[in-house]
Amino acid sequence: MTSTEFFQQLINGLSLGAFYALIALGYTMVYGVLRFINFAHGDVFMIGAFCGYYLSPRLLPHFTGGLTPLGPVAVLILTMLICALLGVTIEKLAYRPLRQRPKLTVLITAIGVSLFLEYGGQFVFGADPKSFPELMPDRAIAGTGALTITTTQLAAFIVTICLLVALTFIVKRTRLGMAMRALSNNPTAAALMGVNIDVVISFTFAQLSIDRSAYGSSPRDQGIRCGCSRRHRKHSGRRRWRNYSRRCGDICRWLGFFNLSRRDRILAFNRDFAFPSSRNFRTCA
Amino acid sequence: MLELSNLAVNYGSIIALHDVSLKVEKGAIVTLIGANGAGKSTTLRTVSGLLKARHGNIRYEGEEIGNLPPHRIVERGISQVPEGRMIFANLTVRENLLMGAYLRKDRHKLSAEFDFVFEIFPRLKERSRQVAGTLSGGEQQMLAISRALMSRPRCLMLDEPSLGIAPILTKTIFEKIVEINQSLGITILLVEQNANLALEISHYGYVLETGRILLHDRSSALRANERVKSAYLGGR
Ligand SMILES: Nc1ncnc2c1ncn2[C@@H]1O[C@H](COP(=O)(O)OP(=O)(O)O)[C@@H](O)[C@H]1O
Ligand SMILES: [Mg+2]
Repeated sequence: MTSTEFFQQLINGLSLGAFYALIALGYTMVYGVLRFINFAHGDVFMIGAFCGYYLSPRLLPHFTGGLTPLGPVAVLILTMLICALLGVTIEKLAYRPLRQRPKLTVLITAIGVSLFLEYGGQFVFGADPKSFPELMPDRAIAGTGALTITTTQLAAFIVTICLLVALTFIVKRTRLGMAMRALSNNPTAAALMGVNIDVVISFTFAQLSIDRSAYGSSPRDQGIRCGCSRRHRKHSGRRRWRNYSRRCGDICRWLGFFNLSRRDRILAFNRDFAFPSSRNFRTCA
Repeated sequence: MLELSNLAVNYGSIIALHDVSLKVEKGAIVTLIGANGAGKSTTLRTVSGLLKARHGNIRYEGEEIGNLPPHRIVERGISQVPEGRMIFANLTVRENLLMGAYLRKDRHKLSAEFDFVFEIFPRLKERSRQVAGTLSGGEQQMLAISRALMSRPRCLMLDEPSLGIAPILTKTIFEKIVEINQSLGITILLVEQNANLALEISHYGYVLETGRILLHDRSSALRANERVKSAYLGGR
């Protein structure tokens, strides 16, 4: 491997890794505060992507001239708000009534929510792949020599870093963040301190939905698609109990999707939904 | 100040309290003693709003509080030191204390509260940056009490503060409880299995047995009571 190739893969790895970091963050935040795995995580994320998809053509034309760079920001913020609302609603309708129940009950409900969003999404948005509108021009940044860094990669990386810093700040330095940590440590004691558990949990969900959607709608040049592939469906029909790995697989596929660099890859992707990580890396141009 | 009348509480189909009535006068130390499983913790949890009573009333300063959520009850000035301390093990001592003052609006001027709890428990001051989970059992109990004081309660409920603590430290902690009551005028409801100590520092006592108040009297009278002596004071 040449050193150029090495650094290129390093860059690719960082941009993909940033992406994984955000997903992982969402999972661990719910797990950390509520001690259950939110299977619907990837699906809210999917909704975020579709918000971006439908909002962009409606919002972007309003930002012309000097305002053009604000267009993607507006899409991002609106998507965040929608997803925050969705996250809070899911928590309120599906998870809150089960707060005192065994964790397994909530877990199964989360799978239900996930299926609801997935098939609801297919019903509303259709199951065909859609190509995500260009929020910003995607081109290689000049002056990096033999290495290729695209504006999209850079933007995604910056968005991730900003969100990570913001979340760290919230969790470590604010009153609400402290309440989240206390709640995760001992919910009873937190309630005895006067923490309104419902508010903190709603906030947690809003917060993660925000970073999910941030990524869902962050600038990229690929396609989005709702639901499962044929192959995947067959598989899950046979082995529904393996839902956990299935959901992880879902997320991984989404990841793969978001990181595809060329439209033609999407077709290939739909034909074969094998674990895509090996293809996520952009090879040297 | 605090008055429970005919309180009945269930855990699902398990009846934990059948009929509990008790009264805590302002400025007093009242103790609730009873064997393991008698329903002492259940009583405190119900007052704090963590459990809902099946029937019965809880009145605090003349107002019914039985249907309020826990954070509203803290807001009104009742705070609890739960059984087993329940400190936030992954937070620092300082953060634990800040959590105690969670509902305080004037959070930037808590120095009086910090000074005050550090004066009662100087050991916490030295350890304020330490992660609370690494404190010893006795120090954790001090922290739990301090944390409950940070909200400036008018009524403090303690659930078995002697649990799992060396006898010598228990004595110190009970002295502190008296100090909190006398110097601050905080009303105290003390739940204990260690009836000896509890009756020594309290003014009035209730004896709870399987979800019912068996008897109640001034603490000095209870200590002389034959039944209490044989069942709770080790026959001495
Ligand atoms: N979470 C619970 N679920 C079911 N039963 C419980 C629960 N907590 C306590 N109990 C029962 O309620 C009764 C009273 O318990 P508790 O109030 O903890 O007693 P104490 O504090 O006096 O030792 C006991 O019989 C206990 O088994
Ligand atoms: Mg108890």
